[in-house]
Amino acid sequence: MIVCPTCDRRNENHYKFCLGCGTELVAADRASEPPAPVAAPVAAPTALPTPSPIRVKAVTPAPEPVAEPVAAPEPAPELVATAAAKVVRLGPEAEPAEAPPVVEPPAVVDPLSDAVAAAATPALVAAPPREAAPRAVVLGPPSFDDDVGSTRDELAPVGLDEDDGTPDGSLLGMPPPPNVEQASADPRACRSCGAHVPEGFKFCGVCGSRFEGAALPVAATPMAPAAEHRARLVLIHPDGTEGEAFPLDVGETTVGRNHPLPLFRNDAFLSPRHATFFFVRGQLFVRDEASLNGVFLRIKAEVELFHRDMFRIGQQLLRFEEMSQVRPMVPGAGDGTTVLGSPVRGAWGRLQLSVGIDTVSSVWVLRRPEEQLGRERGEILFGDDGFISGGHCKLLTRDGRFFLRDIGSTNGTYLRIKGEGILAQGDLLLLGQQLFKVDLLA
Amino acid sequence: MGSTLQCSHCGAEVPESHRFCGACGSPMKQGQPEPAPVAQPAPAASTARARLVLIRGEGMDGVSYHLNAAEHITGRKAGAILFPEDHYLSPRHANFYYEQGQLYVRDEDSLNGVFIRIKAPVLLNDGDLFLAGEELLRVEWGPLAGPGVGPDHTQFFGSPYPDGARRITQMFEGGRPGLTRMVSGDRLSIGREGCDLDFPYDRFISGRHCQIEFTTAGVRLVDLDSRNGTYVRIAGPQPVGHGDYLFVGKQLLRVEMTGGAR
Repeated sequence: MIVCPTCDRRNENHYKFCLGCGTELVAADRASEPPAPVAAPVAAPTALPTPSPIRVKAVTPAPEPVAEPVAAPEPAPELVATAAAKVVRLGPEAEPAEAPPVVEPPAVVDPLSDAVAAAATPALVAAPPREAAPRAVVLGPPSFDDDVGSTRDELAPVGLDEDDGTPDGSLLGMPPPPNVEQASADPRACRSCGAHVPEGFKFCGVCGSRFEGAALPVAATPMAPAAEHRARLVLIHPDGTEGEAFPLDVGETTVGRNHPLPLFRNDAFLSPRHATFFFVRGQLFVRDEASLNGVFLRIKAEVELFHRDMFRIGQQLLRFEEMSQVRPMVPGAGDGTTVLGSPVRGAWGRLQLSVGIDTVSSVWVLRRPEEQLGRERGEILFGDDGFISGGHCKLLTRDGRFFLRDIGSTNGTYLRIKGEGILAQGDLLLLGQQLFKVDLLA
Repeated sequence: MGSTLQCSHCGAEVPESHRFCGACGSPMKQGQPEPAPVAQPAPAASTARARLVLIRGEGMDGVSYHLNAAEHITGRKAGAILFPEDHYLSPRHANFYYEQGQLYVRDEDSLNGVFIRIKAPVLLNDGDLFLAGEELLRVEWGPLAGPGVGPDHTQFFGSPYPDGARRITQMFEGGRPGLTRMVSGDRLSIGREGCDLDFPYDRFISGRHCQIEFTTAGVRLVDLDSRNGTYVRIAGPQPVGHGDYLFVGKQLLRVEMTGGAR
């Protein structure tokens, strides 16, 4: 926990800004803290006095169904994942800010030694480094609507740690884009980072990307010229300014904690293989690689919601449940007896506040045709969350269908994509703890 | 005006307009004779030690069930006191029985249990159920599962983790969960309006109905003089006495001691 020096509010260790007043929190405090803050559970009274003559039957219903952890097993890059995770846990500040520029790829890639190499010298990639090419760093106000309320100006409470050793706008440590020439020279070159992948390996030992067979030279791709497919992910800092850009070129690009780039490697909220970006006929897609925390896309106006869809506003992670699909907690007896309970009274959904992988705290019942979420106005209020607009978004039902609508919030409403999602120019993506803007290069 | 009836239980004179006997509290028959209980041919009232009075809608008394035998099974299909229409009752639901002169009710391992109206604050256990108006609520304070860490050491990026674990969950009919409200302070008031937890749709809940209090001595459920009362689910044999109210399924019953085993 970090106690805000301004308002004394307790904040989670990974927060960059105080949830109560927006004051920037001191990173040094975070670094010394254990990585996973867990609020101490309230101890139940151990010895209850004998109750009054009424003895109450304690029921132990089945636990409420919560999200099944969706993290997929990592078949090959297990060692990489573990090593990378250890680095993060030991403290990202230990990472070398400047690293020797070139490391020759080992003739035979041993997953273990690669893992160690990746962990110990994270900025190294098994390919010649790209020179610090001139690169457009767009400065200026972010392309978001301004809210009339007093919501924090920050786009989202997400941000790249300052101590990751990567100065803004620098390409230092950035891996080169897939090197097409090298790919054609080495039939077992990784498409993401160009490293050699030994026969029989399904994943690149350097960056953890799935090895999809021989990387195709550009000429063999039945697509338009490569230049049309290029895009980049531009990091958006918590203050709304744009940071470094991560290029997305032809072929698949997988990002996650296994990636050598500190931008991804240091984000403990990314899975080792988190998401893959790829083009189909010039259209950019993102695929969630069954990551723990998912890929969230900022919605425009209104989107349809389905049972157990998840979305984010401010600091909150929420899950929608369609009432008719909610499973009973109390099983019936199978003898024709109906389980007693409150009348449902037309409730059409539930909204769960997700605080852990298997943990839900507050739950709201959705009953009106429109239920508004906000910091100050609406039926479902988050008065403590300074990143939520006064009136932020709405949950709606029409004709037996369900919708999520942003009502002009400052920081946006983000919907977790299921499987694959199409990306358009200017789309905003939450990956792990960081916010990126999709920039399609014409 | 002026004319009186004789109470069938204690023999007192009761004005015709009164619905209850002023001497013993028994309901007065209004013109037509009280229908005999379904499963129990009405015995001579003098031999009954206790009876259950079915409360109909609007608080009117319905039929009475005289508890003359040693035990009286209540249920939807089996027993002496039958409610075949109430599908919230298990086929065999509860048993009213005497032991050393005391009347008890026991839950016969029914699905939905037996609820008794509290007459004073009661201490609750983690996971206990109670009824306020039409709302069935469960109170819990056992620790939540924690944020958790993914199998690959990925940290979970969830909502801010709550400080405590005290919570009230609404249970919908059919066994599905409704709302859950975290309790941040030491008490939570429940009612129709102006409370910490409001159920504006529930016309059987009072404006301020009941309150949960987390104290060093335990967790208390306090009825705030609500009109319809607050009920807790019983566990094990529950002694009952005159004036106790019980929910068995959707049936609301009042216990009346009629002499003898008072």
